[in-house]
Amino acid sequence: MQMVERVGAEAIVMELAGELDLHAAPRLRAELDRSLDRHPGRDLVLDLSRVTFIDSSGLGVLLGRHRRLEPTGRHLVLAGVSPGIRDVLTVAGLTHVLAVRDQTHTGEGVDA
Amino acid sequence: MTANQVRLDLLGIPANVGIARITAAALAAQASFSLPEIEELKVAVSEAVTNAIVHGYRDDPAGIVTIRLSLTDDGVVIVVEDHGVGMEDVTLARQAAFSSDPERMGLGFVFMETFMDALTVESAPRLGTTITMAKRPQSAPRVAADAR
Repeated sequence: MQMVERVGAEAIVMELAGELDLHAAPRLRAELDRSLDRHPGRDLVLDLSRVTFIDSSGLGVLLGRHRRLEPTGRHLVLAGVSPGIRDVLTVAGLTHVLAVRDQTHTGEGVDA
Repeated sequence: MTANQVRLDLLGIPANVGIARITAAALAAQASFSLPEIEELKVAVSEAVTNAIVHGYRDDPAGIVTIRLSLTDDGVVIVVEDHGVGMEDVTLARQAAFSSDPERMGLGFVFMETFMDALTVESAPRLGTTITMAKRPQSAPRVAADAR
């Protein structure tokens, strides 16, 4: 799993690539929390356009970040969500909980 | 008739969950599964192996997770077996959100049931757990029972 952080005035954009599973979850959690600690007051946008796989272990990390941000008024946004990733989010019921966008943070569409 | 079969004996470490997925995907690709169906299969396998590592062996890296995959005329059958702590109550464990860890969603069985066509779970305390899952390609011709 690869992660690239871009920090703007309003939001941290974290571009993720690879597979978000049990193996990736600890590092994903640590890096996201480190970024949130370093850049307070900003929303967190996760660009998932290069994420090829996610299961409940990866989803748990995303949900955990959402739970951390929500009470502070900050938001977690999932961007660049492919149809396959969206299906997994739907089964987990997270499309009703998290902000999910098909387009990437730069407004590009995601191939079906 | 079994067209192909594969057996994996994996150390119960997180890095091996991906190996299980790749193997299942490669086997399913030999049948007429669509790409979305293969992605669903990968999620189900990932969940089953993760359960074995996290719950069966409580993250003990010495535990072995055995995966037997069979490709037949009807699709794939995947058996994930551990010899870990086992479950006292399988019915309770299969319910969504049964997890003491706030970042573990407890949805493993939900994904397996949703993405596979059949699922059975056998488990007993101290004897481990065996998950058997089957999936049929949607494009596969269905033969009426009396035509067999």
